[in-house]
Amino acid sequence: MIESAKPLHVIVGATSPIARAYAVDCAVAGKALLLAGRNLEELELIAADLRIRYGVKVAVERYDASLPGEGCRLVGSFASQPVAAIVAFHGIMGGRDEFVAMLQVNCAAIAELFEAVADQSAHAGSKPVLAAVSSVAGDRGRQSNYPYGASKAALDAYLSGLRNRLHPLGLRVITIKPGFVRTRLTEGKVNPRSPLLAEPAQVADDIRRAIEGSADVVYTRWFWSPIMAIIRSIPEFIFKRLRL
Amino acid sequence: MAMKDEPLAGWGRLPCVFASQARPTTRADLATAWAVTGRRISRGLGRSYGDAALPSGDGFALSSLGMAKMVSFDEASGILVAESGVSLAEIIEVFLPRGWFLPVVPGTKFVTLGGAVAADIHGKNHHVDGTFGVHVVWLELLLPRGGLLRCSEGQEAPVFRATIGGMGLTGHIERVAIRLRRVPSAWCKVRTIRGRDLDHTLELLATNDGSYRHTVAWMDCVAVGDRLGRGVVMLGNEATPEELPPKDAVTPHRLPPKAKLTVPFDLPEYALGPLTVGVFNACYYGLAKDDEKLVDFEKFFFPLDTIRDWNRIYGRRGFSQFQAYFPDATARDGLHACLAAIGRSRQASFLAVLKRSGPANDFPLSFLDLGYTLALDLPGPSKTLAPLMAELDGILAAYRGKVYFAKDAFVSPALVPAMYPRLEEFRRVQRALDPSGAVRSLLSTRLKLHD
Repeated sequence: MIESAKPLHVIVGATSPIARAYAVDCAVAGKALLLAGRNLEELELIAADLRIRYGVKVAVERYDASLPGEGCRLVGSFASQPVAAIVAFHGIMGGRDEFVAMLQVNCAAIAELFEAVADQSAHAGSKPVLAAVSSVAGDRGRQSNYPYGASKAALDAYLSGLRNRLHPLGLRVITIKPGFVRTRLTEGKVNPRSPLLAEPAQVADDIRRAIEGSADVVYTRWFWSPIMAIIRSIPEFIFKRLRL
Repeated sequence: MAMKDEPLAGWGRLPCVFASQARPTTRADLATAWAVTGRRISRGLGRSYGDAALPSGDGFALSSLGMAKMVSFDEASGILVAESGVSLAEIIEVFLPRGWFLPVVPGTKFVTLGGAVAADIHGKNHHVDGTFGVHVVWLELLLPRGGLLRCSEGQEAPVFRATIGGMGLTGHIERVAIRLRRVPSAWCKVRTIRGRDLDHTLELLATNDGSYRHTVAWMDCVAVGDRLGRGVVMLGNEATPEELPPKDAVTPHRLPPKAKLTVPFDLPEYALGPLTVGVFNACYYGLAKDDEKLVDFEKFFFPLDTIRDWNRIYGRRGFSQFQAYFPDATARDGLHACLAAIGRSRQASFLAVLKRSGPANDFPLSFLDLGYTLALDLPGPSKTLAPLMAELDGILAAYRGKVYFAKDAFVSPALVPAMYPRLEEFRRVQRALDPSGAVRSLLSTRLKLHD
């Protein structure tokens, strides 16, 4: 663990393409980083790359969102340092038989992590920004993807409640809701030339601006906000007949 | 790994194929992608002009762009270790402000490290520093049968040498250790002299070899008769901070601002007709002054990089780049014959580039040796280009010329063994590494590089 004077930006699920683009944004701005994720070897490589290119301090920490207890351990690993922001990027997408695993990784793990950060910052008096990457899929369950959507909906509700609880303490909680992003999740599922498909760097940019700004819930790219407003407003007796 | 067919082409957009492309981002991914059966060829930024980075038959391309991390840098030796998808542009952006530069750069910085090794690229300093490959300390190769092999001059030397300039045919280059060079500034002091005709231009290049690290001539390939081969010779040395104006002397390695010009769509074919090209070439020659001035690295090494997607100026017909090397003994006559044939065809386009080259290295498929090399664009489509290309083939055969694989899309396979006398040596190494023929490109099957 490095000791750094600068407040730490903690990036969880740091090997994902969006997280990597976000880490670059942070490194360009000279921020000190802690990268957490499952694949330690890959994290070390990403960290070395950021150090060489941007001359920033980067630490790595193993973190496996599928295992309960990992969030507390991770937060303990940077207990002695001020934290500027913690952003959870990790998530898995699966079918009906993977529902429990998705609930753990996509929601429960983030809850464990953020509860621990909130408790710790209450002791330390610091006010980190807590942001988690959810999905537009959490806005409404569709037959094609509802187990995943349900895990993200659970995350949305959790973040909303946490935001409500921490607001009086001056801590911000941000829900990031990306649509289609050019990553492994959309490869082969979304037309690579679709205008709706965002680049990881664009999403990372939106996340950075959300953290620097004052938003609570951010759709990225922005056009997903009106699209999802329409989808949410479709009455259920019609929605159940649609093939989405 | 999901793969979908997509149109793939080289920089000249001739030829274009539909093929799938794998985009691994980690070593584990790469191993999975590599284990898929079928023919494969590695592909970086797609800056080779012809079919070098296109899969053959129903094979797939393996993109290196998802693996583009810098792994380590040693300040004492200047050795950078990076994954092969890192571009030279990225390396320059990171290291030039710190006083380091690549030992060799081609005419564009938008090539990957892997591509630079596979094509054993050369630049304006070939007569002094040789090719890119001679500055490679070691490389890690994903072998055709799987498994990583680290090779260097001291370890698995035959594989190392066959891989440099080997056009990706010995396996997938995964990591490269390249020795960067300290430079006094990000500027060159450039002397410009006009050559009246081919003999004069060649003489200017040959006589200034010893006193300039970077030399090149831009030739007017529309000029015919007495003026055939007239050109603007540029001779450059890296400028010291003392030679810079005071405002730049403080931060001699500062990068120039990034260019934002682009060609947003394909131009119509008449945009580059004989008339516009003729006027451009005449102006370029006519407006050049015999003088000396400071030019930043960007403008000096990568003049075309300031316009993104410049290949679109040729429109949908695409184009080919003809790059030929001739040894000293036959260079004058060979170049003369090439320029005359191209002038007669009225198919020449922008300026041609002529460069004096230094002695060969020890890599069997590396391109250059002592002599001269000429490169120029020829607009497509293939149908109208084929007769000229056939004529140029004849000239190459007559004057012991050779083509550069990274540019070629047309040369007759029958000429290749004579052009590359060490081809058999390469084939032996390639066959031993890849007995089942898993690594193949459209170029390698077209030119029968492995059998």
